[in-house]
Amino acid sequence: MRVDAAPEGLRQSMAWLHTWAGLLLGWLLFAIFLSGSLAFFKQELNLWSRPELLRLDPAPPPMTPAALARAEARLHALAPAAQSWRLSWPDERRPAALLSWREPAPAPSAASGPAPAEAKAARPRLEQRWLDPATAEPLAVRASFGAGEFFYRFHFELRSAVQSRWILEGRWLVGLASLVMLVALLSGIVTHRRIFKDFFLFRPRAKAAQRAWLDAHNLCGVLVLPFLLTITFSGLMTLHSLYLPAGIAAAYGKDSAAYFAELGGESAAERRGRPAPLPLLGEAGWTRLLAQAQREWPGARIDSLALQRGADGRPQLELSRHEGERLQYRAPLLRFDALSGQRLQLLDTAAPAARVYGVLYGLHMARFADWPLRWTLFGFGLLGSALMATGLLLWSVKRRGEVQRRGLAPGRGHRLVERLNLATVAGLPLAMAGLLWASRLLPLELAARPDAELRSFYAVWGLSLLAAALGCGWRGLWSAGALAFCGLGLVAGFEAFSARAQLTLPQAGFAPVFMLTGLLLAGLAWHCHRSATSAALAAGAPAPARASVRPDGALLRAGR
Amino acid sequence: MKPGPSIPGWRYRAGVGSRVLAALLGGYLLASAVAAACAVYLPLARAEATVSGAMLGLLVYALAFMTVFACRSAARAWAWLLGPACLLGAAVLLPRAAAFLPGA
Repeated sequence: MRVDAAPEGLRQSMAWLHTWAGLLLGWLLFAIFLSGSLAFFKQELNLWSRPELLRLDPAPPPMTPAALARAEARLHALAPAAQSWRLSWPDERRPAALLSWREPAPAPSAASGPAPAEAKAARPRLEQRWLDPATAEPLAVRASFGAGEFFYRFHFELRSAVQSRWILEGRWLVGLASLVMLVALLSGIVTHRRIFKDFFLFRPRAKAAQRAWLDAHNLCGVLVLPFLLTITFSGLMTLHSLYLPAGIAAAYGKDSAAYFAELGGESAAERRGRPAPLPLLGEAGWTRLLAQAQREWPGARIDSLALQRGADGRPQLELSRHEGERLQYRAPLLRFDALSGQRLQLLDTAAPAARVYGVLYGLHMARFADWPLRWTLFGFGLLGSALMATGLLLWSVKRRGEVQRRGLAPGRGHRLVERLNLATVAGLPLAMAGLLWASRLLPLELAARPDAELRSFYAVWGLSLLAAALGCGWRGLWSAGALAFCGLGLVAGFEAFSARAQLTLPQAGFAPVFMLTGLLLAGLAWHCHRSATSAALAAGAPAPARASVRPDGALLRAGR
Repeated sequence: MKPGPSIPGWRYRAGVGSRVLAALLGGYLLASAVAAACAVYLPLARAEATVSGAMLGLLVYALAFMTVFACRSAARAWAWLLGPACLLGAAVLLPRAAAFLPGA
């Protein structure tokens, strides 16, 4: 890939590819990695957005027939015409039970014309309500997208609104970035021939800033290389039916539902029966069904149960095991006839390739992870984000060095990259803090409140892009992020203090985590300030009060 | 790659553009052909063959992407991708097309 078309080795061409592929999608990849890392704490961050749920007892109550009968009675009071319903039982990370059901489509009204909005509303709609698991009372929970849910959705589809029109486009864009990530990883392995030696090499005090950034970039990459390879490849596989549908089309034609059914261990996609209201099983029915489940699945932890009509029109109970029980994603399902209690089907897969796929999927979702492992994975994710950030800065630092050696002013493209680096790397944490603030500050009675939360996130990010374009430096954005997170820490600390009588684990955790994040960002801001001052002194100039600086210590405005 | 003292000419830019297109489009065609051929011809259960093909196809995509930029010229890169893609694609599509021929 040399301009003069001279022959070159594999390492040189791969270095070229690594540089340019990394630059073009590095910003997006940084955002995907950082939001994905936070999505490991999806449930906890959702609790931050719905503080009403924090008051519940974090130890989940046992799933008893009486509790199930209460929840069922609640469903029949709320939605007597529901065609199917599902109850997700609480676990250690999600203290409330979630009851969801499908409302039948309303009969089309003859008075008004068939407006498109109405045609959409004519489909059965999914309703959900949070329940107190002990009493089956519906909980008054604020309308929120859930910060964890948003980071999760942003991470793989760049979700921009509750009903976004751009979900498919977002998924494709993330898929392209993931492919390029895989290419950058593989070409990076080819490029760094001394990969083992690089592991022990870090020269933070190196004379050339470029050397230090290169070492940091290599260290981040090599340290968590297995994690990065796994998470990137499994990420692509989670959406393989979207990204690479040719195989499914060749083997199944248009019937992709059959593919997923077979992958899940079902012989063929079972057609659902005609929707009709469901019977009330009552405590006696639940006693019998739970005893039957205990016989079939001794010691199993049930995560959720669903009642629906089978192909023969009889009501069917579907039990799903807790996903924390194994690595493989898609917990096994067990189906019973809800009236007779007869076992119908166990849905699980024993086929090797499907299990490999399930384990890849499970590793990506990390539902199995306990607290130490979850934090470790989060740390790996942060190192992955640091890999993107250092790579982007390295591009910029390397070219700045060359430009300065030749005594030229940096070009327009170079300045654009620097501004985008700033707005992405320092602006995204600020925007995330903006979302966490918005889920607490937006008025509860606001219409379309979840959309307003998402708009706040993008507005803060847009503002930091504007600030970067107008010449705000790294120190400015890091400081803003530090202030935002320390403020969140203070709010969380105050809340934890006022609830100290019955303090639960997630609530006690928010304050230290937010505070530490704030201090980390403050440390980065301080580092930028210090290295700017020393660079200015070295250049013989007084330290400028409001100079734009980059964390590598070179003055941004120098030489202009 | 070091940016040379000269500004890259249109020929170089066209070459890079052609390679990017080859990597994204040609690579996708090859990956799809691999996935489809595996799904149809691997001696496994249908779902097993399909999911194996998807995994292999994605790996092939990444490797094809790298190959495109390691090749000596953009034309070679296209040939390396489209050759196998056409062969595999034909192996999947021709038997299906034959089923529609009169007398089949």
